[in-house]
Amino acid sequence: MRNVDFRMFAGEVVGLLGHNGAGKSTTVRMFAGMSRRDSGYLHVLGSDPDVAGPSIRARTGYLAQRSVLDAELTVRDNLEVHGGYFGLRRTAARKRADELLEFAGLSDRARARVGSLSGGMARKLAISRALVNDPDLLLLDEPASGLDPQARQAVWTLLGQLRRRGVAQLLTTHHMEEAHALCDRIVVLADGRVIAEGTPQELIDRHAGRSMLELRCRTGGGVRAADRLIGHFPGLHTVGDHLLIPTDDTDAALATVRRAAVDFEAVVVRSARLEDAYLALTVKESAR
Amino acid sequence: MSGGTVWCRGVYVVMEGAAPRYRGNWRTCLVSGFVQPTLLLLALGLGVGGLINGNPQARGFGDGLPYLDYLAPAMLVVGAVQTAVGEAIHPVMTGLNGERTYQTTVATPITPAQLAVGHVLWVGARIAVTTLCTCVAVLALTDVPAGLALLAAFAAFLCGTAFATALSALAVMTAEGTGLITVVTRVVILPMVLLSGAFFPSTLLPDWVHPIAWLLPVRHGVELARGGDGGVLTHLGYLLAFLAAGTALTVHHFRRRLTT
Repeated sequence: MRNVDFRMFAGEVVGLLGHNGAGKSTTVRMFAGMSRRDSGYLHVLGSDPDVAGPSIRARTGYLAQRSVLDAELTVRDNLEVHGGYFGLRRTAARKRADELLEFAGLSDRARARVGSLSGGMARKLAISRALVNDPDLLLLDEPASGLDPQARQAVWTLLGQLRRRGVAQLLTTHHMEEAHALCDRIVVLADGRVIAEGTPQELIDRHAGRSMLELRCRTGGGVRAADRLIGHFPGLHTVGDHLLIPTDDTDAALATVRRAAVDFEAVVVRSARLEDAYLALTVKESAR
Repeated sequence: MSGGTVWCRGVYVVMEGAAPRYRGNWRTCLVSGFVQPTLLLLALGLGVGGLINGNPQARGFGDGLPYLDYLAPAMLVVGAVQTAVGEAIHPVMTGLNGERTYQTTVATPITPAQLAVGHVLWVGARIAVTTLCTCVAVLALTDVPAGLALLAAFAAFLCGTAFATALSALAVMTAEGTGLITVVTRVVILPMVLLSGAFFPSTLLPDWVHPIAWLLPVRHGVELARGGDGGVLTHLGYLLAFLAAGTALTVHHFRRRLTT
C-alpha cells in the first residue's frame, strides 16, 4: 500500500473498489489493527490501530470476506460467544442476541446449527454478529459476495437500515450495483494506491460521461472496430465484441460511428453507470 | 478494571467461548474420560497383570506390586496425554484453517496472546476433568493409596497440559496443511508413550534409548505419578519448564499467524 490517502466521517458509508489484490482487504484489516503498517499515518476513532488495536476493535464490527461462523455452535451461541469477547456479561449477551436475531429475521432459527443455514441466512447472521457490540464503525469485506440475488437484496436492506441509523461503514466490493446502492462515497484502489475518489455520481460524471453508447459487433469484429474509433473516442473500451463509448452527446457520437463506417450488429444508448466509470478508470490504470 | 484484570477477563471469555461446543457431546467426553481409561485399566491391569502376576519368576516386577496397581498411576498420565492430543489440535486447525474462527475472534478486543492462553487453559481444564474422572476409577478399582492417586492426578494434569502447549504450537506452525501434525499424532505419540515407562520400568529399555526417553515429558509425568523416586523436584521442574516454554511458543505463533 502506498499513497492511500482518504478520510471518512461519522455515519458515512465508504466503498473501497478495486480488482483482486488492489489492497482493499488489507486496508480494512489495517483499520482494525489486524494488519500492521510499515509507515504512514492512520487514525481510527481517534487512535492509531497499531497502538490501540483492542480499544478500537471494541468500537468496531468486522465482517470477514468469508462468513467465518463457528459451525460447531448454534445460531444463538455464535452471537452470545461473540458478545462475550466484547465484555458482555451472560444476561446482556443473551438480550443482545435476541435483538440481533430479530433484526436479521433469524429468531425462529436461534437453536439451529449454523451448518443448516442457507448462504443468505449465514451472511445475515455474520453481519448481525459484527453488530453485537453496537459498533460506531462497521468494516465489511465483500458483504454480499457469493449470494443469490434474493439473499443479496436482503443483505443490502440490512446494511441500508444500518446506514439510516448512522453506523459508519467501510465496505469493499466488486459489485458496482452494491457500491452505488449503499455508499455515500467511493474510493477506487489499484496496486495499493488510490486512483479515484468521490460520490458514485461524481465518479460517473467524471470518468464515464452522461451516456454510454454500446455497440455490439459481429463475432471477432470488436478489435477492428475499436481500432477505427479509438482516435475519436479516447475513453472507449472493449468487452469482448462489445464497444463501450462514453459520451455526453449520443447523437454526435452515433454520427461519428457511422462516418467511420464501423460494422456493427446493434447499438444501445443508455445512461452511464458506476461500472462504466470503474472500467474506464481501471482500464486507463492498467494501460499505464 | 486494571489492565491486568481486563487481560485475564479476556482469557476467561475465550475459555468460556469454548464451552458451548461441549454442551452437545458431554456424553462422548464422559466416555473418553471415564469409560475408556477404566476399560484400558481393567484390560491391561487385570489381563496382562494376570499373566505377569501368575508367573512366579516375575513376582518382583514393579517392586512386587500387583501389575494393576503399578499401571494405574501411569494410566492417568497416558490418559491426560491422549486428551491433550484430542483437545489441543482440533480447535487450532478449525480456528486457523477450516472455518477460520480465530480471524473473527481477533477482530474483537481479544488479542492473539489472550486467545492462545485461553486455548491452553481450556485444554488444561478439559484434561483436569478427564483426569479426575479417571482418578475416581483408579481409586475404585485398584489398591493405589488415595495420596498417591492424587499426586498421580496432579502429575497427569501437569504433564498433559505441558504436552498440549507443544501440540498447540505445532498445530499453529503446521496449520497451512503440511500434514506434519498428522504424522506426529499417528507416529510419534505411541512410541513416546511406550518409551515413557508407563507399561514397564524404563530400566528395561536398552541403554542407548535412555537419553531419548529422558527428554520426553511423558517420562517425567509417569515418574512423578509413581511418586518421583527421589527425583520429584527434577520431574516437576522439567514439566513446569516445558509448560512455560510451550506456552511462550504457542503465544508467539498465535501472534505471528494472526497479525500480518
